[in-house]
Amino acid sequence: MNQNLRKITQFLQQNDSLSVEEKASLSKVVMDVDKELTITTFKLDRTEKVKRTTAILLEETIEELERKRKAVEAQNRDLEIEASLERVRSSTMMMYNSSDVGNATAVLFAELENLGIKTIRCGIIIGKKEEEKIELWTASGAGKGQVMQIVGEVDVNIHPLLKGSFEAWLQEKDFFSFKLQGNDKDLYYRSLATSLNYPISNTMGSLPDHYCTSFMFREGGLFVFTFEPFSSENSTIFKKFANVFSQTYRRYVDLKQAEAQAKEARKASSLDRVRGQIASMRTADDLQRITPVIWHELNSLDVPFIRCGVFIVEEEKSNVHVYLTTPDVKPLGALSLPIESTSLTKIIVHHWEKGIVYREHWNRDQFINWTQSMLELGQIQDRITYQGSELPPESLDLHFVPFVQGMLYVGNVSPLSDEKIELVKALAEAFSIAYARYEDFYKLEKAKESIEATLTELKATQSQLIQSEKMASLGELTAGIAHEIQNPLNFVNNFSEVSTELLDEMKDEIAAGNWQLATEIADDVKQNLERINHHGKRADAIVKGMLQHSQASSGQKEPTDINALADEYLRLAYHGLRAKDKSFNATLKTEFDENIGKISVVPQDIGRVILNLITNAFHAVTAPPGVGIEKRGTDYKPTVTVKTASWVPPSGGKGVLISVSDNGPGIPTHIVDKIFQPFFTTKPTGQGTGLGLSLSYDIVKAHGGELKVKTKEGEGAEFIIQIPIQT
Amino acid sequence: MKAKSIKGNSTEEIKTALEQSIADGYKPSLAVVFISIKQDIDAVSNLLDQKNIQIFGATSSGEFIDGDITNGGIAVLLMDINPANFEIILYDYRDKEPEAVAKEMAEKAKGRFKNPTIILSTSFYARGELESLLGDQLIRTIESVAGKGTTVWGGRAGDDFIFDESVVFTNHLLTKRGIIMLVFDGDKIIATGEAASGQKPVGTEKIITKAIGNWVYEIDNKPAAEMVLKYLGLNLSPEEAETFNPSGMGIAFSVSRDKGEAIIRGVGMFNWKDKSVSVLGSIHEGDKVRFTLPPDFEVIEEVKFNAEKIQHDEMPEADALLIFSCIGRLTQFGPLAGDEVEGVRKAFNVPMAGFFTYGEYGRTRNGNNEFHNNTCCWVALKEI
Repeated sequence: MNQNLRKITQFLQQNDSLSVEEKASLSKVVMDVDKELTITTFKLDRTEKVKRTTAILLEETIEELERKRKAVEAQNRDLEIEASLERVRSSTMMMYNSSDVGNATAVLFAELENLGIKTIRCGIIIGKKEEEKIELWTASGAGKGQVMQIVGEVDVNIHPLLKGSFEAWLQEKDFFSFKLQGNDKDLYYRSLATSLNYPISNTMGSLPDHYCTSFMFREGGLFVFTFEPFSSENSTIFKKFANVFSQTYRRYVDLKQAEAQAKEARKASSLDRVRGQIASMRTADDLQRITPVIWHELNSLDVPFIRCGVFIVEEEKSNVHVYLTTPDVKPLGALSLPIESTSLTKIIVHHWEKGIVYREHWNRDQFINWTQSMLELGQIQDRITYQGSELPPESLDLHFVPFVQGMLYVGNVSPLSDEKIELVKALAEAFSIAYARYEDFYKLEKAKESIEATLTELKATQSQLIQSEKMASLGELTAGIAHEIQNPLNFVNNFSEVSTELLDEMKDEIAAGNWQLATEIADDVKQNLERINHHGKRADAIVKGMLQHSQASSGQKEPTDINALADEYLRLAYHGLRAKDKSFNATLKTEFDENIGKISVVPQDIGRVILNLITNAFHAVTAPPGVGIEKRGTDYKPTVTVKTASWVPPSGGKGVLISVSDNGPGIPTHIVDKIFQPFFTTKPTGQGTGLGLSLSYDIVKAHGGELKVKTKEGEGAEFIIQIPIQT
Repeated sequence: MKAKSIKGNSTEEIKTALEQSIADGYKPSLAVVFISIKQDIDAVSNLLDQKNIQIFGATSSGEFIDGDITNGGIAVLLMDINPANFEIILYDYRDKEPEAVAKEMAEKAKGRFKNPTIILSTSFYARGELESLLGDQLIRTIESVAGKGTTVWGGRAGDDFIFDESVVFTNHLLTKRGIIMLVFDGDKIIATGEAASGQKPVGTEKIITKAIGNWVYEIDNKPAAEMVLKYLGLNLSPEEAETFNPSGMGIAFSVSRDKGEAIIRGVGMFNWKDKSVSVLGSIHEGDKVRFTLPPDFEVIEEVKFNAEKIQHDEMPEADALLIFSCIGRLTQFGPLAGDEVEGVRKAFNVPMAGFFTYGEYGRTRNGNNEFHNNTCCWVALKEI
């Protein structure tokens, strides 16, 4: 109990003025108060404790929230940095050619600035291990407008800052820091200025002492100049940016390689196209087609030019042929200049001989002077055409690139880079091939002309030969023809003699007034005259046939009775031979298929074939002793058989077959394959042209047919003409 | 069933009170005894045993039969319940795993009654690791045998804040390592109750970074005992810290679970040598915890109000009442702790006995049986 309350209770108990009831009642009140006091004290105490704990927990909670807030802030910063890095990565990904590296790097520096990192300036170094050099890239301008520039290479040994950075990069350290102070600072900037062909602001040396920190990546480092040593937070950021730049740089290198490859590929495909065109050259004239291709390819390889041309050096003639055009192949002039005629041609030829490129620069006046000299030499007709425009060029850089036969000329308003000249060289080489080909073609064409002339002569000779063959066969026929003509002539003679006698008799009867008899005699005469006419016509037909045979065929096919044709030539041949050699005798057999009807052929041609085959057959059966004669017994009967028959071609349809067979000695196996070759003959020189069977073969082929031979040595030969019937 | 509650500060006082209770011919069959470890448990047991009264006994850290709370005394609830409707089971778990013992007991209870209702207490060595097994795991084991719907109420035996060893006992058995069940036939004895806490987690979430058994060594990698002192706002000298007993401070952690509500784990003791603290119940490394503040005083009114509502709605004519209130509540509410107890008693206005426990068993309002800390669990009984 509370001490005071206890005292009150004691006081109450000791107070005699109070009754027992009053004491008890008051004591209870005091007890209740004590209880309430206890509760209140407890509550206060507990509340105090709870407050204390709550305060602690609240403080802790606030701390926790603060930590979380900081964490969020840090996270935001991280996100901001990450977003910045992402933008740099994006700009890297957006690099489509190596020149985009400037933009990507500018983005990197702009992002670093956006992150609020105070710097004096930043840049990139790319390490060159072997040369102990670094390539220096710096940003010029400020903020977003800044542009990256590859300043150049510098020897790392010129200053400890560079050496230290280089060593740190070699040793793959994360970063390297260097303080530029006092005289050393001036020394650094002076050393740099003398090593680099790049203006370094004079104010750099006068800046207060400052720091250079480089953050290394695989290929180099990201450097930053600051007035204060770099904080660890900023270092972390720069390190990240350095790593991202490493990607940028790799992409830059990749793109450069790709571009070099693409350039090489373009060059290769350009050359391929030129070579393709060269390969398609068929005549010397095609060179005119190649030259524009060269200029076109120069264009496609981005070689700039306003004039171009080919200088062909003719050493033996001490002359230079010049063909000048515009890039779109508009002719500017074709000159033929003696080498010694101008200083330009002299120096060009001099360079050509040495195989080196020659460059010359002309101003407007020099161009005009040259044009004037060409006019005076009569090489060009008018100034405007030669200029290619109203006005002469203000400035012209002439480039002469040698090839085997001359120089390729490319004129441009400014000098071409070595790289472009290399492209021109490649095309000059290609052109050289084209030109060589042109020269070859030129020679070839000359040779061709000569061959063609020879061929014409040969053809003439051949036709003469053919004609002589015809004549020869005509000779063969002459006797037969004579025999054939003899018959009608005999008739004509006989009938005319008889008619003369009859006319004498008729005169006598008329004189006798015997009109009746005279009339009868006149009728007889008339009959005789008709006969004479008939036989005359027959003779005429024979002569015409002979003429026809000797003439070139009309080539016209006409329905022809093959049986009659064969029969006629059989008889002509037979009688011809008989006429020449009385002892000649042979059995003639004909087996004509009367159903074959008329066939559309060129009758002179087919007749010639049949005649040739029959004549050959007669010759075979009457060959002089020694040619298979031992096989001939006394009962040997030379026989030539001519057959006609229907024939079914292998491809279907209809056809006729004419066979001429003999029972002569046959054709020796070793010459069977040669008998249809032109000029092949078994006859002694001068007796045969060797064209008979060859021509026959061609004639049958021309009718779409075949001429075949079946032979067995000692048993004879059979020549078969197979002609399909054209429907 | 008729119940009577008696209390005393000695065996003699209990003897007198018991005599008075049965003077009218009242014949109790069952006594629920909550007794200070300092009392002569055997004497009290004999006293009751002589009257053929079956004993469900547990040592306490303060006991009550009404709003007056005694410390070091004895509180008894007598019931003349039909012996056929209940059975007292007490097993020592020293020879077996507590889990196996609990299983065996639950099987026995389930074997005896189809729908057992269990009043549960346990005794243990407060500084031992097995202590944690007598919490959630015990409840889960009982549920695994008797079913989730089984009614379980109770509290772990205390030892007057000594935090050494507690005792559970029956007429003839007494053990410092035991589980005791008063099993009612749920079809004959209906029981309803509530587990009220009001503990409020505050502050930031922390992680148990080192724990062995129910001893927490580090929270957020800092010594656990130092953390607890810090929250209490106490700057103790090492000597003071060594003797500091946090159990009277009503300190508790709210341990969040992957599923369901966070559970409260009261702080039992300090071991200043290794800066560890023991918690009442299980805790694991990786558990996320928050420090808690004691319930507002209004909770006392709320508990009373809820009890009145349950009395009105569910059990208007209860026969008896048992209250298991955490020792933490005693310190949290101080002189008002009795008000909470009295508030519940008045709601039912039936004989009651209760004690301050080292952890409570009871069904939460969301319906699950749980092991609690810093909670007031009460159960009203009625024989039908």
